[in-house]
Amino acid sequence: MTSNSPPISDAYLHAYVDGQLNAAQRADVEAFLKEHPSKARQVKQYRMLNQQLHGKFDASLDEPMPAAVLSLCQAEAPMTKKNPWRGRIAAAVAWLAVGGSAGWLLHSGVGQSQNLVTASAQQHAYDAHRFYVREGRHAVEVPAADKDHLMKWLSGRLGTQVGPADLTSAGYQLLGGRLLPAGDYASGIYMYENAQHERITQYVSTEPGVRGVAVPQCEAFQSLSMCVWNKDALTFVLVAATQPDVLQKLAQQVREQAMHPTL
Amino acid sequence: MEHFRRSLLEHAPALRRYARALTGDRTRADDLLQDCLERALLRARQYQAGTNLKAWLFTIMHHLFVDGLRSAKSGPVLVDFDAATLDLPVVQPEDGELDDLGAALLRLPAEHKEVVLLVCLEGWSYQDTARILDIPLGTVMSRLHRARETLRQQIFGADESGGAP
Repeated sequence: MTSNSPPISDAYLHAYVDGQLNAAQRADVEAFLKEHPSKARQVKQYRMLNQQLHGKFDASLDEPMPAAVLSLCQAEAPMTKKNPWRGRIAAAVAWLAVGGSAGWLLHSGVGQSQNLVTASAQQHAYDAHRFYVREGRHAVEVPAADKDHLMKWLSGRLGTQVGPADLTSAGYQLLGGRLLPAGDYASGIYMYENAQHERITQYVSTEPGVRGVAVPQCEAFQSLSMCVWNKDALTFVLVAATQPDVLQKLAQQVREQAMHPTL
Repeated sequence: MEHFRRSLLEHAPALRRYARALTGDRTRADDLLQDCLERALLRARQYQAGTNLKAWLFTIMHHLFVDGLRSAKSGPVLVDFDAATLDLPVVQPEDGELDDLGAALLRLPAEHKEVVLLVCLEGWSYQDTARILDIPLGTVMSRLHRARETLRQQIFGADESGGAP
Protein backbone atom coordinates (compact mmCIF):
# COMPACT_ATOMS: atom_id res chain seq x y z
CA MET A 1 0.00 0.00 0.00
CA THR A 2 2.96 2.28 0.31
CA SER A 3 4.56 1.78 -3.08
CA ASN A 4 3.77 4.58 -5.48
CA SER A 5 5.61 3.16 -8.45
CA PRO A 6 4.05 0.88 -11.01
CA PRO A 7 2.64 -1.66 -10.89
CA ILE A 8 -0.02 -0.24 -8.64
CA SER A 9 -1.38 -2.76 -6.16
CA ASP A 10 -5.06 -3.62 -5.84
CA ALA A 11 -5.06 -2.06 -2.39
CA TYR A 12 -4.02 1.20 -4.04
CA LEU A 13 -6.83 0.94 -6.55
CA HIS A 14 -9.34 0.45 -3.78
CA ALA A 15 -7.95 3.37 -1.83
CA TYR A 16 -8.19 5.45 -5.00
CA VAL A 17 -11.86 4.58 -5.48
CA ASP A 18 -12.59 5.21 -1.81
CA GLY A 19 -10.96 8.62 -1.80
CA GLN A 20 -8.30 7.62 0.70
CA LEU A 21 -5.25 8.81 -1.25
CA ASN A 22 -3.54 12.16 -1.30
CA ALA A 23 -3.12 14.19 -4.48
CA ALA A 24 0.28 12.78 -5.41
CA GLN A 25 -0.90 9.21 -4.89
CA ARG A 26 -3.99 9.89 -6.97
CA ALA A 27 -1.84 11.19 -9.81
CA ASP A 28 0.24 8.00 -9.71
CA VAL A 29 -2.83 5.84 -9.92
CA GLU A 30 -4.34 7.89 -12.73
CA ALA A 31 -1.15 7.61 -14.74
CA PHE A 32 -1.14 3.87 -14.17
CA LEU A 33 -4.79 3.52 -15.20
CA LYS A 34 -4.15 5.29 -18.52
CA GLU A 35 -1.75 2.54 -19.44
CA HIS A 36 -3.88 -0.33 -18.09
CA PRO A 37 -7.38 -0.24 -19.55
CA SER A 38 -8.52 -3.43 -17.86
CA LYS A 39 -7.55 -1.99 -14.49
CA ALA A 40 -9.31 1.22 -15.46
CA ARG A 41 -12.45 -0.77 -16.16
CA GLN A 42 -12.07 -2.55 -12.83
CA VAL A 43 -11.86 0.80 -11.06
CA LYS A 44 -14.84 2.13 -12.99
CA GLN A 45 -16.90 -0.87 -11.97
CA TYR A 46 -15.88 -0.43 -8.33
CA ARG A 47 -17.20 3.10 -8.54
CA MET A 48 -20.42 1.93 -10.13
CA LEU A 49 -20.80 -0.61 -7.35
CA ASN A 50 -20.54 2.14 -4.76
CA GLN A 51 -23.14 4.13 -6.66
CA GLN A 52 -25.44 1.13 -6.85
CA LEU A 53 -25.12 0.55 -3.12
CA HIS A 54 -26.06 4.14 -2.44
CA GLY A 55 -28.85 4.00 -4.99
CA LYS A 56 -30.30 0.96 -3.33
CA PHE A 57 -29.98 1.91 0.31
CA ASP A 58 -29.81 5.69 0.65
CA ALA A 59 -33.59 6.05 0.45
CA SER A 60 -33.78 4.47 3.89
CA LEU A 61 -32.01 7.52 5.33
CA ASP A 62 -35.12 9.61 4.83
CA GLU A 63 -37.68 7.14 6.06
CA PRO A 64 -39.31 7.94 9.38
CA MET A 65 -37.82 6.12 12.34
CA PRO A 66 -39.95 3.43 13.98
CA ALA A 67 -41.87 4.77 16.97
CA ALA A 68 -39.99 2.45 19.28
CA VAL A 69 -36.67 3.93 18.20
CA LEU A 70 -37.96 7.46 18.56
CA SER A 71 -39.22 6.97 22.07
CA LEU A 72 -36.00 5.18 22.95
CA CYS A 73 -33.95 8.16 21.88
CA GLN A 74 -36.25 10.92 23.03
CA ALA A 75 -37.78 9.84 26.28
CA GLU A 76 -36.10 9.86 29.61
CA ALA A 77 -39.04 7.63 30.43
CA PRO A 78 -38.66 3.94 31.09
CA MET A 79 -37.12 1.90 28.36
CA THR A 80 -39.45 1.29 25.46
CA LYS A 81 -41.40 -1.85 25.48
CA LYS A 82 -39.79 -3.63 22.61
CA ASN A 83 -41.05 -6.42 20.52
CA PRO A 84 -41.02 -9.02 23.25
CA TRP A 85 -40.17 -11.89 21.03
CA ARG A 86 -36.58 -11.09 20.44
CA GLY A 87 -33.66 -10.84 22.40
CA ARG A 88 -30.97 -11.14 24.74
CA ILE A 89 -29.90 -14.64 25.01
CA ALA A 90 -26.28 -13.81 25.62
CA ALA A 91 -26.73 -12.73 29.20
CA ALA A 92 -28.76 -15.80 29.98
CA VAL A 93 -26.19 -18.01 28.35
CA ALA A 94 -23.40 -16.41 30.31
CA TRP A 95 -25.35 -16.73 33.51
CA LEU A 96 -26.08 -20.38 32.91
CA ALA A 97 -22.58 -21.13 31.78
CA VAL A 98 -21.34 -19.89 35.13
CA GLY A 99 -23.72 -22.23 36.85
CA GLY A 100 -22.54 -25.09 34.72
CA SER A 101 -25.94 -25.76 33.33
CA ALA A 102 -26.31 -26.75 29.73
CA GLY A 103 -28.96 -27.56 27.25
CA TRP A 104 -31.60 -25.50 25.58
CA LEU A 105 -30.08 -22.15 26.37
CA LEU A 106 -26.51 -23.02 25.65
CA HIS A 107 -27.37 -24.27 22.27
CA SER A 108 -28.79 -20.78 21.86
CA GLY A 109 -30.40 -21.76 18.60
CA VAL A 110 -33.37 -19.93 19.96
CA GLY A 111 -31.74 -17.27 17.93
CA GLN A 112 -33.40 -13.96 17.48
CA SER A 113 -36.52 -14.95 19.21
CA GLN A 114 -36.23 -15.04 22.97
CA ASN A 115 -35.82 -12.71 25.80
CA LEU A 116 -34.03 -13.79 28.89
CA VAL A 117 -37.03 -14.71 30.98
CA THR A 118 -38.85 -16.71 28.36
CA ALA A 119 -35.61 -18.41 27.52
CA SER A 120 -35.24 -19.46 31.11
CA ALA A 121 -38.82 -20.75 31.13
CA GLN A 122 -37.88 -22.80 28.08
CA GLN A 123 -34.79 -24.05 29.85
CA HIS A 124 -36.88 -25.13 32.83
CA ALA A 125 -39.44 -26.79 30.60
CA TYR A 126 -36.78 -28.54 28.58
CA ASP A 127 -35.04 -29.81 31.71
CA ALA A 128 -38.30 -30.95 33.26
CA HIS A 129 -39.31 -32.85 30.15
CA ARG A 130 -35.98 -34.60 29.79
CA PHE A 131 -35.80 -35.37 33.47
CA TYR A 132 -39.28 -36.80 33.95
CA VAL A 133 -40.07 -38.28 30.55
CA ARG A 134 -37.88 -41.28 31.23
CA GLU A 135 -39.63 -42.10 34.48
CA GLY A 136 -42.30 -44.72 34.15
CA ARG A 137 -44.96 -44.47 36.81
CA HIS A 138 -43.14 -41.72 38.68
CA ALA A 139 -43.09 -39.24 35.86
CA VAL A 140 -45.96 -37.49 37.56
CA GLU A 141 -46.66 -36.70 41.18
CA VAL A 142 -50.41 -36.80 40.85
CA PRO A 143 -51.89 -39.21 38.30
CA ALA A 144 -54.64 -38.40 35.84
CA ALA A 145 -57.07 -40.36 38.01
CA ASP A 146 -56.88 -37.46 40.46
CA LYS A 147 -57.19 -34.85 37.74
CA ASP A 148 -59.51 -32.55 39.68
CA HIS A 149 -57.25 -32.50 42.68
CA LEU A 150 -54.19 -32.01 40.49
CA MET A 151 -55.75 -29.09 38.68
CA LYS A 152 -56.86 -27.36 41.86
CA TRP A 153 -53.49 -27.86 43.42
CA LEU A 154 -51.46 -26.51 40.49
CA SER A 155 -53.93 -23.71 39.83
CA GLY A 156 -53.65 -22.70 43.46
CA ARG A 157 -49.88 -22.54 43.32
CA LEU A 158 -49.89 -20.76 39.95
CA GLY A 159 -52.51 -18.29 41.14
CA THR A 160 -54.64 -18.87 38.06
CA GLN A 161 -56.94 -21.57 36.85
CA VAL A 162 -54.77 -23.70 34.57
CA GLY A 163 -55.72 -27.15 33.47
CA PRO A 164 -54.62 -29.80 31.04
CA ALA A 165 -56.03 -29.96 27.54
CA ASP A 166 -57.97 -32.77 25.94
CA LEU A 167 -55.54 -34.12 23.34
CA THR A 168 -57.29 -37.44 22.82
CA SER A 169 -58.11 -36.52 19.23
CA ALA A 170 -54.36 -36.55 18.63
CA GLY A 171 -54.00 -39.83 20.52
CA TYR A 172 -52.61 -38.43 23.76
CA GLN A 173 -54.06 -39.15 27.19
CA LEU A 174 -53.31 -37.15 30.30
CA LEU A 175 -50.78 -38.96 32.46
CA GLY A 176 -50.83 -36.53 35.37
CA GLY A 177 -48.78 -33.63 36.60
CA ARG A 178 -46.48 -32.19 39.19
CA LEU A 179 -45.40 -28.98 40.84
CA LEU A 180 -41.90 -27.64 40.10
CA PRO A 181 -39.77 -24.78 41.35
CA ALA A 182 -38.77 -22.09 38.84
CA GLY A 183 -36.35 -19.88 40.69
CA ASP A 184 -38.48 -17.96 43.15
CA TYR A 185 -41.61 -18.77 41.22
CA ALA A 186 -43.95 -21.69 40.88
CA SER A 187 -44.37 -23.81 37.83
CA GLY A 188 -46.09 -27.01 37.02
CA ILE A 189 -46.30 -29.63 34.34
CA TYR A 190 -49.05 -31.69 32.88
CA MET A 191 -47.77 -34.73 31.05
CA TYR A 192 -49.53 -36.58 28.25
CA GLU A 193 -48.77 -39.93 26.67
CA ASN A 194 -49.92 -41.76 23.56
CA ALA A 195 -50.22 -45.47 22.80
CA GLN A 196 -46.58 -45.57 21.68
CA HIS A 197 -45.61 -44.16 25.10
CA GLU A 198 -44.48 -40.92 23.50
CA ARG A 199 -44.90 -38.10 25.92
CA ILE A 200 -45.68 -34.41 25.80
CA THR A 201 -44.90 -32.02 28.63
CA GLN A 202 -47.07 -28.96 29.12
CA TYR A 203 -45.06 -26.57 31.26
CA VAL A 204 -46.74 -23.58 32.89
CA SER A 205 -44.88 -20.99 34.90
CA THR A 206 -45.47 -17.74 36.72
CA GLU A 207 -41.92 -16.57 36.03
CA PRO A 208 -42.28 -12.93 35.02
CA GLY A 209 -41.76 -13.00 31.33
CA VAL A 210 -42.62 -11.50 28.03
CA ARG A 211 -46.16 -10.64 27.14
CA GLY A 212 -48.08 -10.64 23.96
CA VAL A 213 -46.81 -13.85 22.41
CA ALA A 214 -50.31 -15.07 21.77
CA VAL A 215 -49.53 -17.61 19.10
CA PRO A 216 -47.27 -20.52 20.06
CA GLN A 217 -43.79 -20.14 18.63
CA CYS A 218 -42.28 -23.51 17.85
CA GLU A 219 -38.73 -24.61 17.21
CA ALA A 220 -36.85 -27.88 16.94
CA PHE A 221 -33.97 -28.53 19.24
CA GLN A 222 -31.96 -31.73 18.89
CA SER A 223 -34.55 -34.50 18.96
CA LEU A 224 -37.17 -32.35 20.69
CA SER A 225 -39.48 -29.56 19.69
CA MET A 226 -40.66 -26.73 21.89
CA CYS A 227 -43.54 -24.31 21.55
CA VAL A 228 -43.74 -21.20 23.71
CA TRP A 229 -46.45 -18.63 24.26
CA ASN A 230 -47.83 -16.33 26.90
CA LYS A 231 -51.23 -15.86 28.40
CA ASP A 232 -51.76 -13.13 30.96
CA ALA A 233 -49.15 -13.66 33.65
CA LEU A 234 -48.28 -17.18 32.58
CA THR A 235 -45.66 -18.58 30.28
CA PHE A 236 -46.53 -21.84 28.58
CA VAL A 237 -44.04 -24.23 27.02
CA LEU A 238 -44.94 -27.45 25.26
CA VAL A 239 -42.12 -29.98 24.79
CA ALA A 240 -42.15 -33.27 22.90
CA ALA A 241 -40.07 -35.43 20.61
CA THR A 242 -42.03 -34.50 17.51
CA GLN A 243 -41.70 -32.17 14.59
CA PRO A 244 -42.34 -28.49 15.38
CA ASP A 245 -45.33 -28.30 13.01
CA VAL A 246 -46.94 -31.29 14.70
CA LEU A 247 -46.37 -29.79 18.11
CA GLN A 248 -47.68 -26.45 16.90
CA LYS A 249 -51.13 -27.97 16.31
CA LEU A 250 -51.15 -29.51 19.77
CA ALA A 251 -49.97 -26.23 21.25
CA GLN A 252 -52.95 -24.50 19.69
CA GLN A 253 -55.26 -26.97 21.40
CA VAL A 254 -53.53 -26.52 24.73
CA ARG A 255 -53.64 -22.76 24.33
CA GLU A 256 -57.37 -22.82 23.69
CA GLN A 257 -58.21 -25.17 26.52
CA ALA A 258 -55.70 -24.69 29.31
CA MET A 259 -57.14 -21.49 30.71
CA HIS A 260 -60.70 -22.76 30.51
CA PRO A 261 -60.38 -26.19 32.04
CA THR A 262 -63.45 -28.28 32.44
CA LEU A 263 -63.57 -29.73 35.89
CA MET B 1 -28.15 11.33 29.30
CA GLU B 2 -30.72 13.41 27.47
CA HIS B 3 -28.03 14.66 25.18
CA PHE B 4 -26.71 11.13 24.69
CA ARG B 5 -30.13 9.93 23.63
CA ARG B 6 -30.45 12.71 21.10
CA SER B 7 -27.02 11.91 19.73
CA LEU B 8 -28.13 8.35 19.20
CA LEU B 9 -30.99 9.57 17.07
CA GLU B 10 -28.60 11.54 14.88
CA HIS B 11 -26.77 8.36 13.98
CA ALA B 12 -29.85 6.16 13.70
CA PRO B 13 -30.42 6.73 9.95
CA ALA B 14 -26.92 5.59 9.01
CA LEU B 15 -27.16 2.64 11.39
CA ARG B 16 -30.44 1.65 9.84
CA ARG B 17 -29.07 1.94 6.31
CA TYR B 18 -26.17 -0.30 7.30
CA ALA B 19 -28.54 -2.77 8.99
CA ARG B 20 -30.78 -2.88 5.91
CA ALA B 21 -27.88 -3.67 3.65
CA LEU B 22 -26.45 -6.16 6.10
CA THR B 23 -29.61 -8.16 6.69
CA GLY B 24 -31.43 -7.57 3.40
CA ASP B 25 -34.63 -7.40 5.43
CA ARG B 26 -36.52 -4.41 6.82
CA THR B 27 -37.86 -6.07 9.91
CA ARG B 28 -34.58 -7.63 10.89
CA ALA B 29 -32.85 -4.34 10.21
CA ASP B 30 -35.24 -2.45 12.47
CA ASP B 31 -34.78 -5.07 15.17
CA LEU B 32 -31.02 -4.79 14.83
CA LEU B 33 -31.23 -1.00 15.05
CA GLN B 34 -33.38 -1.10 18.15
CA ASP B 35 -31.19 -3.68 19.83
CA CYS B 36 -28.16 -1.58 19.00
CA LEU B 37 -29.60 1.60 20.50
CA GLU B 38 -30.86 -0.22 23.57
CA ARG B 39 -27.48 -1.73 24.18
CA ALA B 40 -25.89 1.66 23.67
CA LEU B 41 -28.17 3.12 26.34
CA LEU B 42 -27.44 0.27 28.71
CA ARG B 43 -23.74 0.80 28.23
CA ALA B 44 -23.80 4.57 28.02
CA ARG B 45 -21.40 4.77 30.94
CA GLN B 46 -18.82 2.80 29.01
CA TYR B 47 -18.81 5.30 26.22
CA GLN B 48 -15.91 7.71 26.59
CA ALA B 49 -17.01 11.24 25.90
CA GLY B 50 -15.06 12.85 23.10
CA THR B 51 -14.43 9.61 21.25
CA ASN B 52 -16.24 8.76 18.06
CA LEU B 53 -19.82 7.94 19.11
CA LYS B 54 -20.81 6.87 15.61
CA ALA B 55 -17.97 4.38 15.42
CA TRP B 56 -18.86 3.10 18.88
CA LEU B 57 -22.45 2.52 17.72
CA PHE B 58 -21.32 0.72 14.59
CA THR B 59 -19.11 -1.48 16.75
CA ILE B 60 -22.12 -2.39 18.88
CA MET B 61 -24.16 -3.18 15.79
CA HIS B 62 -21.35 -5.33 14.44
CA HIS B 63 -21.30 -7.38 17.66
CA LEU B 64 -25.07 -7.80 17.67
CA PHE B 65 -25.06 -8.84 14.04
CA VAL B 66 -22.35 -11.44 14.57
CA ASP B 67 -24.05 -12.73 17.75
CA GLY B 68 -27.26 -13.09 15.79
CA LEU B 69 -25.50 -15.08 13.09
CA ARG B 70 -23.87 -17.36 15.63
CA SER B 71 -27.11 -18.14 17.39
CA ALA B 72 -28.92 -18.60 14.11
CA LYS B 73 -26.16 -20.90 12.98
CA SER B 74 -25.98 -23.09 16.05
CA GLY B 75 -29.70 -23.52 15.90
CA PRO B 76 -31.70 -26.16 14.12
CA VAL B 77 -31.81 -24.34 10.81
CA LEU B 78 -31.90 -26.99 8.14
CA VAL B 79 -29.70 -25.38 5.54
CA ASP B 80 -26.28 -26.04 4.16
CA PHE B 81 -23.74 -23.44 4.92
CA ASP B 82 -20.11 -22.88 4.35
CA ALA B 83 -18.57 -23.52 7.73
CA ALA B 84 -15.69 -21.26 6.86
CA THR B 85 -17.90 -18.21 6.79
CA LEU B 86 -20.42 -16.53 9.00
CA ASP B 87 -22.87 -16.36 6.16
CA LEU B 88 -26.58 -16.43 6.82
CA PRO B 89 -28.86 -18.83 5.07
CA VAL B 90 -30.11 -17.11 1.98
CA VAL B 91 -33.54 -15.76 2.72
CA GLN B 92 -35.84 -13.90 0.41
CA PRO B 93 -36.34 -10.42 1.77
CA GLU B 94 -39.97 -9.83 2.55
CA ASP B 95 -39.91 -6.67 0.48
CA GLY B 96 -39.59 -8.85 -2.59
CA GLU B 97 -37.24 -6.40 -4.24
CA LEU B 98 -34.34 -8.72 -4.77
CA ASP B 99 -32.30 -7.24 -7.59
CA ASP B 100 -28.86 -8.40 -8.71
CA LEU B 101 -27.12 -6.36 -6.07
CA GLY B 102 -29.45 -7.53 -3.31
CA ALA B 103 -28.99 -11.14 -4.34
CA ALA B 104 -25.23 -10.78 -4.56
CA LEU B 105 -25.11 -9.21 -1.09
CA LEU B 106 -27.13 -12.05 0.39
CA ARG B 107 -24.64 -14.53 -1.02
CA LEU B 108 -21.63 -12.67 0.28
CA PRO B 109 -19.98 -14.10 3.41
CA ALA B 110 -20.96 -11.92 6.36
CA GLU B 111 -17.43 -10.81 7.22
CA HIS B 112 -16.85 -9.69 3.63
CA LYS B 113 -20.20 -7.98 3.49
CA GLU B 114 -19.50 -6.01 6.64
CA VAL B 115 -16.26 -4.63 5.24
CA VAL B 116 -17.63 -3.74 1.84
CA LEU B 117 -20.68 -2.02 3.33
CA LEU B 118 -18.76 -0.08 5.94
CA VAL B 119 -16.34 1.21 3.32
CA CYS B 120 -18.44 1.55 0.17
CA LEU B 121 -21.83 2.44 1.61
CA GLU B 122 -21.08 4.02 4.97
CA GLY B 123 -17.89 5.70 3.88
CA TRP B 124 -15.70 4.65 6.80
CA SER B 125 -11.96 4.88 6.33
CA TYR B 126 -10.00 1.65 6.28
CA GLN B 127 -8.59 2.49 9.71
CA ASP B 128 -12.02 3.09 11.21
CA THR B 129 -13.36 -0.07 9.58
CA ALA B 130 -10.50 -2.03 11.14
CA ARG B 131 -11.35 -0.56 14.54
CA ILE B 132 -15.09 -1.13 14.24
CA LEU B 133 -14.63 -4.77 13.27
CA ASP B 134 -11.58 -5.24 15.49
CA ILE B 135 -9.50 -6.76 12.71
CA PRO B 136 -6.09 -5.79 11.28
CA LEU B 137 -5.91 -3.26 8.49
CA GLY B 138 -4.50 -5.90 6.15
CA THR B 139 -7.57 -8.04 6.76
CA VAL B 140 -9.80 -5.10 5.90
CA MET B 141 -7.95 -4.70 2.62
CA SER B 142 -8.05 -8.36 1.67
CA ARG B 143 -11.74 -8.70 2.56
CA LEU B 144 -12.56 -5.51 0.72
CA HIS B 145 -10.81 -6.78 -2.37
CA ARG B 146 -12.47 -10.16 -2.30
CA ALA B 147 -15.91 -8.73 -1.58
CA ARG B 148 -15.66 -6.12 -4.29
CA GLU B 149 -14.36 -8.59 -6.82
CA THR B 150 -17.17 -11.00 -6.02
CA LEU B 151 -19.82 -8.31 -6.35
CA ARG B 152 -18.22 -6.84 -9.45
CA GLN B 153 -18.12 -10.16 -11.23
CA GLN B 154 -21.65 -11.09 -10.21
CA ILE B 155 -23.07 -7.77 -11.32
CA PHE B 156 -20.94 -6.84 -14.32
CA GLY B 157 -19.91 -10.34 -15.34
CA ALA B 158 -16.52 -11.99 -15.10
CA ASP B 159 -13.63 -10.65 -17.08
CA GLU B 160 -9.92 -11.19 -17.29
CA SER B 161 -8.88 -8.29 -15.14
CA GLY B 162 -8.67 -7.93 -11.40
CA GLY B 163 -9.61 -11.24 -9.86
CA ALA B 164 -6.99 -13.04 -7.90
CA PRO B 165 -4.32 -10.85 -6.40
